[in-house]
Amino acid sequence: MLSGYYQAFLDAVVGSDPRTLGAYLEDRALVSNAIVYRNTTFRGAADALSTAYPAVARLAGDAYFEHVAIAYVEASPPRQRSLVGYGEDFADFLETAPGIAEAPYLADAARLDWAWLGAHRAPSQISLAASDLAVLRPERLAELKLKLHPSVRLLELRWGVHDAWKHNRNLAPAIAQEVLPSRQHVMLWRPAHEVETQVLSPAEALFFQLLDGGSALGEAAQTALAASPDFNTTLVFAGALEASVFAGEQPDLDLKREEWW
Amino acid sequence: MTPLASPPPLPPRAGIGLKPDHYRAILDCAAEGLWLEAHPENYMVDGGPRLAWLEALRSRHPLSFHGVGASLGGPDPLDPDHLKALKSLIARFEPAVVSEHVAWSAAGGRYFADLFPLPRTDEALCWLAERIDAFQMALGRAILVENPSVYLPLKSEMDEPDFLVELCRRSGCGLLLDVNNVFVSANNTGFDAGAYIDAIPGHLVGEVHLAGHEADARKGASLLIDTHGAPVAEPVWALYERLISRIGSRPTLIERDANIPAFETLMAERGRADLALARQVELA
Repeated sequence: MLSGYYQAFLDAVVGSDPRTLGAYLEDRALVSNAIVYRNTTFRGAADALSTAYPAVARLAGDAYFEHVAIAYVEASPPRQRSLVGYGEDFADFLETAPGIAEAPYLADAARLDWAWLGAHRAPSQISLAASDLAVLRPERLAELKLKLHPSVRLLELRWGVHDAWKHNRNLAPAIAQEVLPSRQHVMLWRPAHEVETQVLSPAEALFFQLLDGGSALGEAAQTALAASPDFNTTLVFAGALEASVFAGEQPDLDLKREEWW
Repeated sequence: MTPLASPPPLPPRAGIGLKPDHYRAILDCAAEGLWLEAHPENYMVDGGPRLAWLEALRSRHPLSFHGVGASLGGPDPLDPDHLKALKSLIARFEPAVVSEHVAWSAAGGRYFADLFPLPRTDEALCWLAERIDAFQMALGRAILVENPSVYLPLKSEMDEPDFLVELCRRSGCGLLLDVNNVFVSANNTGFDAGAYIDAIPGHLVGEVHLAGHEADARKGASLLIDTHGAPVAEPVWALYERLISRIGSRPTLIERDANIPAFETLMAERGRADLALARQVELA
């Protein structure tokens, strides 16, 4: 029966119990060949992880990454029929992985790798240009609710790992990088084909989080300014426009443009 | 409503498996008759450079989609998310060929990212034919299915060529004949690879795969692994010549998924297959 065969095969290949599979073979002695499938299955998922998390793989070193990747595959095997999206909660897994105490910033490096991948494969969309805002009366700008580009990812990390992450991500020659336990805000986005990253001040991070949550520009700017008197709305907003952080399609702008005419 | 134009068929020439390492080189390459094969699963993303590359390359070369995630022989229902993503890619990129495997790769909601074997029993044949039929109905087009590389001598009720021919008859699919898989399976389970090649009816073969294999690290040459990580072996080239001298030219893919060589090296191997195909055209 096919159903019995499936189970016997899985027992041997996934469960390391080859006893029942032997009955389905012409030559029971060759049941040991089932290890080929086991290796490919675990190897394939672990390779997908090292592709998704290249900086973690480099920061962790081959031996530790291999060890922790296989443990992750056993705990959270792939469930989708494509490995491109595999490894979503690898950062959380790393938080409590055995041996992680030696490099506790790896989980945050994994968050950066995952956000990079998310930005990389996010829907393609043109960005808002400064000239698009020309249709708006300047005094209405504060009321505008702007959507961030679909590739934008905002991260709040417990370790200041961005520079070490970026260095290793770019396959630059290994250099010793000190990673300190200090809160760090990072934005990642993909204006065209390349993923960009920027470390944000807490007030800047608050500003973009509020915009992402649907706040109007003026309200987000005031809250950011209240959090930090150094926050320069004009500079931050102009910089973000220049860096293509806002989506090209802006329903609220279309609405306000109609009012103008 | 305007009927959709069907994409042109693959030319009876040699193509290569599409790897990100080679995107730029392929874009700059003017090789005549070159076609590309991609795993659609690698392009199941919302947007970004990967899809942009595929679009740019597709505008210059014919494309084939070689699926690895359908688990046609498996116990789980066909995955609706996977089917939806595949259909959307097919609609966008209009591949000349869509192929899958005589294998299973998922059970209990878990995906194994490998091609697990099926015993060649009447029960497995019925199940697989039913599933290929459902898959083809969902896609709205016929597919090719690839013969497996076998590492376990499963008790079976029929030889593989008979199994595949009957599968095609029942489901209306065609064959993607992987000559390296025939060689590897013959070596691992003890049948005559040449006789297998001779038993495949030419009219069923829509595409041919050539790839490299490597000996298992522990068991040596008694267990060959279909790694796609080495050049095509000489005995596999010999089987390929034997095949095409009988059935004629077919679109032939040089498949390389590991130890990816420089583009020029891969194209040299592709050139050897292309030359063999050109000779068949001259002879015909």
